[in-house]
Amino acid sequence: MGAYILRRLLMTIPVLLGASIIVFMIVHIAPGDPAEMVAGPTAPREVVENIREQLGLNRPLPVQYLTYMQNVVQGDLGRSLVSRRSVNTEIRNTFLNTLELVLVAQVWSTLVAIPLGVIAAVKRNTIWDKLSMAGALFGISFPIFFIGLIAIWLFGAKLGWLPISGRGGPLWTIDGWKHIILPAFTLGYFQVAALARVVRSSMLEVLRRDYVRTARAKGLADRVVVYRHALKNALLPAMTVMGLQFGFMLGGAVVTETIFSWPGMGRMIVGAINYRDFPMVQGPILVLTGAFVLINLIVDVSYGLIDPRVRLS
Amino acid sequence: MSGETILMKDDGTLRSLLPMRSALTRRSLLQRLAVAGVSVPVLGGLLAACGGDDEDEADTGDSGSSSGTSTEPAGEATSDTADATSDSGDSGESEDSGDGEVTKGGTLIFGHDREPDSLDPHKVTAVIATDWILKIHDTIVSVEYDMATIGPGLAESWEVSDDGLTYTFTLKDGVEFHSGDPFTAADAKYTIDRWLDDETASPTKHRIAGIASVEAPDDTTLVLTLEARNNELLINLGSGFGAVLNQSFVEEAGADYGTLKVDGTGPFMLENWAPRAEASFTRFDKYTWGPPSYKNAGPAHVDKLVMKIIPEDTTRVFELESGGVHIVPSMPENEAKNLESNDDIEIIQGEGGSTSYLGMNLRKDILDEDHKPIRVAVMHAINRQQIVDELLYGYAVVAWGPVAPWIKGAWPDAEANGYAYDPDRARQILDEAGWVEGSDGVREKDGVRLTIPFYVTANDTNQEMMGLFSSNMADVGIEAESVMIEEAAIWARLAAGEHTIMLMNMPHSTPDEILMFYFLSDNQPAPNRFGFSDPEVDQWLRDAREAETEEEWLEDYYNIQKRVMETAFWMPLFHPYQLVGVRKNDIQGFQYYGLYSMGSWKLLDVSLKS
Repeated sequence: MGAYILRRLLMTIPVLLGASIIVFMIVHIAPGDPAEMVAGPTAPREVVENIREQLGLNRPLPVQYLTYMQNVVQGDLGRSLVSRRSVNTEIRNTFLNTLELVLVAQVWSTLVAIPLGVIAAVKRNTIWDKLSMAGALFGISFPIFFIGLIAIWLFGAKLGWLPISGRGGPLWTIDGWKHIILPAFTLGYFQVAALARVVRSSMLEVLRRDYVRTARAKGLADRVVVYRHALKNALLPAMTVMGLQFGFMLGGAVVTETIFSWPGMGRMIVGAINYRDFPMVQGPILVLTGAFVLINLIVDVSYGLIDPRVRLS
Repeated sequence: MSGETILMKDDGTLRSLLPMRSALTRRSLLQRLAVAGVSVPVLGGLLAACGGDDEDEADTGDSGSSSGTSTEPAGEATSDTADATSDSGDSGESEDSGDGEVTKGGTLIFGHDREPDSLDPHKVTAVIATDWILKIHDTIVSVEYDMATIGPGLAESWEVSDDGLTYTFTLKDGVEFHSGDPFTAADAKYTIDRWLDDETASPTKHRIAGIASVEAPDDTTLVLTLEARNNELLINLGSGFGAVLNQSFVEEAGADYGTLKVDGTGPFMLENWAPRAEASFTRFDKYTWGPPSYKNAGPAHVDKLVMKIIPEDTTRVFELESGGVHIVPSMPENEAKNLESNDDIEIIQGEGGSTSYLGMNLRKDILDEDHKPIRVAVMHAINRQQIVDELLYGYAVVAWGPVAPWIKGAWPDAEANGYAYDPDRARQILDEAGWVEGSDGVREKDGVRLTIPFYVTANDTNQEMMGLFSSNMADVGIEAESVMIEEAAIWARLAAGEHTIMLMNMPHSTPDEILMFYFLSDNQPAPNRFGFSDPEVDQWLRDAREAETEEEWLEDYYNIQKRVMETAFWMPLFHPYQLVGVRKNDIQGFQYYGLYSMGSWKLLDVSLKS
């Protein structure tokens, strides 16, 4: 298994390299000019040209790419063209914020979605099934910003129970927890819906299998059959979905982050794209690519742990 | 105090701008005032320079006695000006006069829709950046609340040579930076040198172009020598871009200056800045050199200032309603309308100078010199009142000229000579020019369809506005083609001259700030994106900058605005109010600051109600 993991890790290098080239090309091909953005609408041409020169944007693209990669290899992702902030520091701060948010969202949505999916499958075609799946449909159908604004209005403005914007203190403080509840709820809500449906359908499939019937025939308690025998096998597709969701949320929680003023990575990347701030787009995307590869690796490895029949080689 | 700030164009402020007669000659009055450390108008430079003639036009703009120095202006001047500036307050008064008791301490919380990229004054152009910068830093001179009077800042006084080319500033003694370093003239010199240095790549360098040399002969003297007279110098030195830096601190901080490291002499010190979340500032206790616009020269009443960054409009407004923030400097119009009936909240309609306009590109065949009737027809066809009423909920005034009416120098006859909404007239003009309606209602002439592309920055308001333009145009037989472009991409395309008509907004605090940028022929292709070139206008623009009397200054600007409107290529649409939401039962002493549409300035008089 060690060799497998090592091989997978080594494979991230070409993936990152490819991603860096693609991102670099997309950002540069897209119309827009960071020098114009920095200069503002009233600057005369010579001021714009001077800014372009000082930022090194008038050099040929391959030269810009190679210089950039040279620094990246040494662990330096450069500085923002606009704020001159170090991209490394910016990523460190925002990545942790996003990670916290996504983890909390993922944990609560998993804790709710799995039982929900199981109940729906076990009590198929009963009112419980209908209710939980209707709830899931509800979740998928409502856009995040709608859920978010309703949550803000109800819990923040109307009831005044929870803060509605900002990061608050660190997660180990009560203030930090208060601040994370609404955004994590909003972000996770959508995941519950998607995950519960996956769990339900794979549970239904597993419950029809022979070994489940055997287990029942042996006279095992229903709970044991469902949770120990069926669920374990039904979890594999759910794991894959969770892995993908997790990776997606790291960079794609923009709407939630914006509504709740959460200082996360998604907002940072979107802001940088709007400015054509190349280093601030490329750095975070490289990190996200790495994170995505890593999460998939973890999912693959955990397959083997859940189901010994899956051999990693 | 906040009640007075709703509309600032009442004569209180305008009067302080107008020339007045007194027994003193212009020059002697100004010199006395300058020596006494008293505010002078923007045109102080030009007024100081002319000796000999008898026209007396100067305005103290502030109480002469506040500085406590030996010279004092003639009694007539003092009495007249004291009430002219009652809005901005007199520095000599005791702190609690007028507003009742002032509570010390507490945290004042702002809800901003965005944050600065940097707090380095030489790296930014954004309004929000200048807003934060001026809370941390000071400027050599200060621009008072009327946006026209120049008062002392870090300079307690200054003198301008007769030819208007040499400015000698006497800097305040005993001023300290937050880091503890003393402020000296060397820092002021360094600041201006850095602003002008190509390597700094300041996007606002052109604002103070024409400085020939900067000298600091001793610790409290700064001498600027200009290549030519420049009436815009002082107001730019007093803007956020002119914030004075600590040389040794900036040099040590390097590229981190403005983000991780900041130092200034201003009333608030940056304590912590978590990007995209919030920034906190603490009061600088040693601060006692606030501008004369404030009753309280410092330190600030509040202990702490927190800037929350809340990009989502709805969330920001909920925070204001629930008391999570005290002030929201950028209220969306619809939300402002909803909150007007809220007893806790006051919506201030700030008159920051700003003009939204349609600019026509005279280089495009369809709008060139042979097609003036089309341009005039477009201007008559657009229903600006409808935009103001329906899209902006009434929070704007219809624009008749380029300069906002509450900025000194706006052409007073603009409305009488303007292009009123008159679709019949537009149709008639097009008929006369030979453009005949085709089968689909779009006019044609010699096989050419009357289709005009409108280049518009993509956002919700603009999209709605574009809808109105299209129907207004269709009404008179013109087909408006909407070209929506993302902000990052539009500037380069406009600079390349792709557009036929463009929609844009321009904030300005002086006539020069909008007229010079847009209508100087040398500023083509950008910011003069209209292909407008008129040697007479060029001359008037230069003359106004170098004008020696206020009459000349006004005449030049009136001429320019008249010519621009007559040429009919630049259609002013409306001047929006800047909407500031304030929790009026929680705070007092807040006053709207219109310079560069910042909304707030140094907040020295603001206190929390207990």
